[in-house]
Amino acid sequence: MSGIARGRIAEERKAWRKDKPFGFVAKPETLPDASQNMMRWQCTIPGKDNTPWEGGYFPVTLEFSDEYPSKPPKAKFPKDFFHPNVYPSGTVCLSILNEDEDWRPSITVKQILLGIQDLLDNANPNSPAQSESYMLYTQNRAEYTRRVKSQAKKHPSNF
Amino acid sequence: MSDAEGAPPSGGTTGVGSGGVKTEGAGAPGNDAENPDFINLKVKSAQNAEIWFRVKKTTPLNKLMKAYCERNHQDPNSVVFLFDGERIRADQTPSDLDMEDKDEIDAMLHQTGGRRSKADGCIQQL
Repeated sequence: MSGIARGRIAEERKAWRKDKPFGFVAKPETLPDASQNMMRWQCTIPGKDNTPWEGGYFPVTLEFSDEYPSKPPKAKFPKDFFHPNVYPSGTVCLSILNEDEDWRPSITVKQILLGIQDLLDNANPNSPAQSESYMLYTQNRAEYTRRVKSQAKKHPSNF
Repeated sequence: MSDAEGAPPSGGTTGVGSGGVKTEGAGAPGNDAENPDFINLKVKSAQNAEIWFRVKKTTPLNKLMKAYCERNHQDPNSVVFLFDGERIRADQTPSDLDMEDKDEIDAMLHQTGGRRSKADGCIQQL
């Protein structure tokens, strides 16, 4: 296991605990034996107020590799998440999460999760990753918005 | 890392409440190395307003939650306190939750579908 990745991930977690955006969650996965897997984080991203995503608390998994932070973590929503820039597998397609594009090792977990939150209501139709939401986004915006709202309802807060 | 915060300004302690919970003035308190039994916790609202509390690690967080609500003139039943996405129960202590100095708590306005006043909720209205 890479010491650099481990060290940076521990540092990220520490920074997050002291200063995290309201309503967000980001914590290493807890294994059945109660130990923590630092390489895989379970996160929650709230939909922004005054958007069709409002009220949704969307689960996202961050998967770090040994090459982190040279390479970005992979961010995944649940399978079949409804968003034009999310692959059917749930993987988020975002330039700051692509090492060949805008990823920089200095980008923090906080910036990643805020970036994904921003992407929710700012889809990029020029780079679709799935067909269903892309078609509706470009051809039937009313139905697209209805589907987004219904998806938000399926991910309520758990308190 | 760009995320690293500078040393927060030391806030004047305007301590109220007795036995384990003290609210602090605006701004983070300095490092309290002198007493390892106490930690400072930050409670943040949806409007990003922050209030610092100095709490004993073994005091149930009930006390902090009550102090927060009193200070904000909020009904304790209308606020949910979350740590790492989990609701904090009244009887849990910072030690129970492995809280560390300067950890952050979210204070969310509670909302429930239906009614909260009766155990059988909306069914009674049918």
